[in-house]
Parts: sequence; structure tokens; C-alpha cells
Amino acid sequence: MENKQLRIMVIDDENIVGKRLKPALEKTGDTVETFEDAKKALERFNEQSFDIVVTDIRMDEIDGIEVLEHVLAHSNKTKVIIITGYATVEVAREALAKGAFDFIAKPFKPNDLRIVIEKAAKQLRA
Amino acid sequence: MKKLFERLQKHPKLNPLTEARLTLARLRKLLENARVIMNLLADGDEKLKEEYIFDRHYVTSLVDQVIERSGMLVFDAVVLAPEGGKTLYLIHDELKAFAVDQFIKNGDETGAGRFPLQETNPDEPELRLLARVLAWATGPLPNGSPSVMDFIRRIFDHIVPVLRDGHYLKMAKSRLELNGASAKHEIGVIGIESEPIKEGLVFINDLECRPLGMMLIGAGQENSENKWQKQQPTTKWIAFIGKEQLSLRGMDADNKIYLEAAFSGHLDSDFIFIFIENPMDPKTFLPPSFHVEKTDLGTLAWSYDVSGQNMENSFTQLGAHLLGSFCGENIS
Repeated sequence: MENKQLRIMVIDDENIVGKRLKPALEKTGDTVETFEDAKKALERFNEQSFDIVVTDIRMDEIDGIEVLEHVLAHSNKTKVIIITGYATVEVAREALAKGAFDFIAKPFKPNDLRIVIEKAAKQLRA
Repeated sequence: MKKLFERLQKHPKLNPLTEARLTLARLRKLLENARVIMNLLADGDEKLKEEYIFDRHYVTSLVDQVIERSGMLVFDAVVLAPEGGKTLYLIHDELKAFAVDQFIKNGDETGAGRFPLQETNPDEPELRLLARVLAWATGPLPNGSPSVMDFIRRIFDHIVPVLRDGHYLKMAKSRLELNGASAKHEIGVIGIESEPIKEGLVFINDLECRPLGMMLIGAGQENSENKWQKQQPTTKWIAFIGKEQLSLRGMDADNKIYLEAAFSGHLDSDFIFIFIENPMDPKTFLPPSFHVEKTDLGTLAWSYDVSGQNMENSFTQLGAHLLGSFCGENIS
């Protein structure tokens, strides 16, 4: 896994998240795909493996916990990072208990997420 | 039943010191609420400028918290100065109605036509919403609606009579005298904590008050080379002191300065608030790091730059300018 570019999926139904994260995360050469619709994201996940999935926890049709369960059921290598809002800290704990790698609370800077992704990448390389 | 009601209506008469302490505690509560509002708005400003990733919930939550704290501010202000409280409540209602209409109920786009942004117009709706919230905070707003800062200015103007209340001078049983080159300062001292203060003329070392101590260091440095002269005018002050708290108020007609400060070393609770009544010019003595807002009655200034060294610098600088005209203490 040394020096391997990461394939990262970002799922958030708020447009601003993907729009801002994609260019920020691609700066280091990783491949980033963004989705506002969790259902479409999971369909994509079924056809293409990802090293890291970054998902918002509160979404309309499919929430972050469902995304987490789906990803972990289909891949034991993928690391899932949960994005939480103000009111979802309890749910974030639940996500960690269910196997999420880590969570990051909004508002955050792209670099804050980059640090968490690097930690996840280290585990992937180990 | 009637007797019981009458008994409940009769408030036990508090001794003046207890009354002063209660007033001061309420004032601190008001300042704390004002500080939370300023911090929330500063946080929003940082999120907008530094390309944070946030969602609509962050913005609406910020608005909710500002409105909630504004309501607490009105309550504090009316407890301190009941007269005219109804006007403050009406302004708060207006402030809240505008925010709910523009940011909570109508979200981003519906309200945008009625509340256009003049200077910036970010691409993302969340950023636009936050930019508009910050414009609501600073004003001016269309149709003369009050901005958050308008509201805060009104709150401080409302409580000025409480700050300028001179009857505390008679209560002060301890007195600190600072004799300087061009002025003499007489500070009536009242302790707000349980430990008693020596009565009569006191020395700086008799007083345990970190903010006042820092101010007096600054004052001493400013005038160490001045030559003391007799026949100086006396500036009267009242100081409510605690170990980490200071409420210093100028009591002369030409020295209407009210300073409230906490300096504990805990970043969450330290602050300096100053209100300077017209026509004094605060530019002559305020440290540059202070945020300044003009009100109808004067100038409101505050600093949350609370890292230890910055706080010390602010206190010494304020001490040098406000109490600086002395070269020794207890010289008569």
C-alpha cells in the first residue's frame, strides 16, 4: 500500500461538502468521487471498491449508519469516516461502536479531514 | 390568601452591600451573555472566511443561539434597570421576527430578494446564508430593522444609569489614593467577596485584585519619571474588587468610564469590557486590539484577546492611561 493513491468516496446530501472537499482532497493525488444521493453512492460502491468512504450521518433516504453497515458488509478493508453535525454526536458514538474508523464534526476544515484520512491510510498500509 | 399575597409582595430590605453584589452579579451575567453573542458571531465570521465545511444546521443553530442569548440580555438589562424595559422587549421581538423570517422559515433563497448582500455573494447556498446572517449581525438592515449590534448598543445604553450610579461612593469604607504628576486619583474600594478589606486608607498590597494590580503596575510605569506636584485635581473612582474581578467606575462628570474585567487565566472566562460615556474620546487610551462600537450615549469597547500576555498588556496600558498620572500611593 506504500505510496498508493487512495480512492475516496464522499457522501453528503449538502452540495457544499462534496464541492469543497473534492478539490481539497485531490490535491494530494487521491481519487475522489462525491455523491449527494446515498443510494447512488452505494450502487457505485457495489461496482467499484474504495479505500475510504466519508459519509454524512444525517441524510434523508439512507442515513450514514446504513451506509456504514452496507460498506462494512461488502468490504472488510474500507475505512468509513463519519461526518456529524451539531445534533448528531450520540449517533456518531453509535457509528463508532458499529465499526466506523472515526468521525469528524461539522464545521471542519478540509485539512482536519485530511488528517483523519491519513490515519486511516496508515492502517490500510499496515 | 390576601395576607399571603401581601407578604410575598414585601421584599425584605437588603443591606446596601448585598444589593451592590447582586447588581454586580447581574451585570456580569449580562456581560457573559453579550460575550457569548460576540463569540458566536466571531465564530461565524471565521467559518466564512477560512473555508470551513459546514451545513445549514450550523447557520440556523447559530441564529437560534444568538436569539436565545439576546432574550437573556433583555432580561438581565431589565432586571438592572426596569424602566423602559418594554422598549427593549419590543426591539428583541423585532430582531427575532426578522431572523426567523429571513434565516429559519424562508431559508436561503426566498429571503434573499428582500435582504440582498451588497458586497459578497458566495456560490454555495450555505455560505450565502451565513454571509447574510453576519450582515444581520452588523447591519444596517433594510426598512430600519434592528441588527444584532444595534440591539446590543441599545442594551448598553439602557444600563448606563446603573453604571453611573454614584451612591456606592458613600458605601466604600476603604480608600486607595494615587498621587501623580498631573492628577490625583481617589478610589473608593468595595470588596465583592467574603473576605473583608481593611477599612480606611489602604495600600495596593492590602488589596487582592489581579486586574487592578495589573492596572496599577501600568500606571506606575507610566509615571515613574514624573515629578510629583501638589495642587492637583482629584479624579474619583469606585472599584468593586474580587481576587480576579474588577469593576472600576469613574465618578466625575468629565470621567465617565466604566470598566468590567475578569482575569483568572482561564481563557473561557477572562474579558475586559469598557463603556465610555460621551463626549470622552476612547481612542486616546484604548489598546488597539479592542473592538469598538459607538452607541447613542458613548462607546462600547471590549477585548476577548485573552491570552495571558495580551491581557496583562491591556491592563497595564489601560492603567497607564486611566490611572497613570501618579508617582506614588498614599501621598498627601
